[in-house]
Amino acid sequence: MRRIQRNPDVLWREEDEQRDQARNALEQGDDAEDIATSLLFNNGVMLSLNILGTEIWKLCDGRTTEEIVAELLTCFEVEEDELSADVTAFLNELATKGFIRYGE
Amino acid sequence: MSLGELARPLTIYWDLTPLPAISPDYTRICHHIAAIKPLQLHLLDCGPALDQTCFSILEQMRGTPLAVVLTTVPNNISEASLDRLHNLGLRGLLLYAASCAELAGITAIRDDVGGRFATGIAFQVNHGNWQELPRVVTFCLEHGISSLTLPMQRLYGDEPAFTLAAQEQATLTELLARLDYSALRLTIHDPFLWRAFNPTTPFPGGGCQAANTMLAISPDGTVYPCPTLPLALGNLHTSTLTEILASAAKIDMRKMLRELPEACGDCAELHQCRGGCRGRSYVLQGSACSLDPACERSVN
Repeated sequence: MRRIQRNPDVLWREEDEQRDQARNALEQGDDAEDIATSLLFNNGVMLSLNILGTEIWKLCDGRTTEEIVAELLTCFEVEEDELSADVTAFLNELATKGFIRYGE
Repeated sequence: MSLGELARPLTIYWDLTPLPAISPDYTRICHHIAAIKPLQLHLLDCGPALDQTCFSILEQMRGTPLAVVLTTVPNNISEASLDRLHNLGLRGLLLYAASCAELAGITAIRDDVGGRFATGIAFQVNHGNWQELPRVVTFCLEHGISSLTLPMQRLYGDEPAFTLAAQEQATLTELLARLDYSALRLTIHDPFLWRAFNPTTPFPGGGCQAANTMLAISPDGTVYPCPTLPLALGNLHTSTLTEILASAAKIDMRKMLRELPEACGDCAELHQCRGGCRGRSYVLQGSACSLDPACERSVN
């Protein structure tokens, strides 16, 4: 199983205010998809991630995709298959852009 | 997802030279910077020797997540200073030059740096040297230098604003087209210089980022939205960066810069230049809401 690591050259920051705003929205059953809660910067490319993207990013510490999905299921109320597909697609995008690396 | 308006900048440009008549409290400024958690700090120290101030700033920033990049002249670099910069956690070194003649000696430094931190060239473009850019690119390619930055002009000082006329841009584009510099990492802040290097790729980003993703601190501690926009937002002798970021001056500045210059109208080139350089408009036209003179020269 491939383990996923953040590229150590990526500079990133979690936006506390926006994270609290997103959490409040989720608690009230509102959509938080468009609230950017973190910023990533690598090699001139900047990405902003919503709360789910940020949580996935923070879990890229040597875990496998399956371990990341399992962890997220404890925090977000979503179907496992749907979450797994979303996480896999998101990680592939991060890998393509050089923000994460797949290892053994 | 668009970056939009940020509460805190991602990058701080802090110029330590030319040395001011009255030095600011560098330790205090370091605390201000750390408090707003930017991702990058770009230090500029182009004095005759690397100042102790530079090392003490690096000392204070060591161990923080902040990535510090230093721009300095090649003469300031020795094996001992490289060791010291490495031990202080420097992430990147840009060697400053304003002519091809000044590039000599950079390769030896690059070899001395080894893999300790990223090294590149910062070539300050002006009216007298823009024609040297293809030679600078060739130099980088031939000497394995993978990063070339064309720094923002420091228009809060007395540096004359540089613009490239339409014919000059065409000449430069033609000269650069003969080179394959796809492996070279280019950092270009001027939308019109960008176009000379990247004729088919629109200028990245969402328009002027002054006081949004960036802030600039001049040697005397004055805070500007960007090194090229000499409209002071405050001074760190009397305010903190946090206070300046929350100030009406900063909020009004962003409100103004989010609006494109009226003269741009529905210009078909807007996706290319994104409104141009607002600092250059301010310096040369007297208003940051005017058309970038580089655009006027280009159009005419």
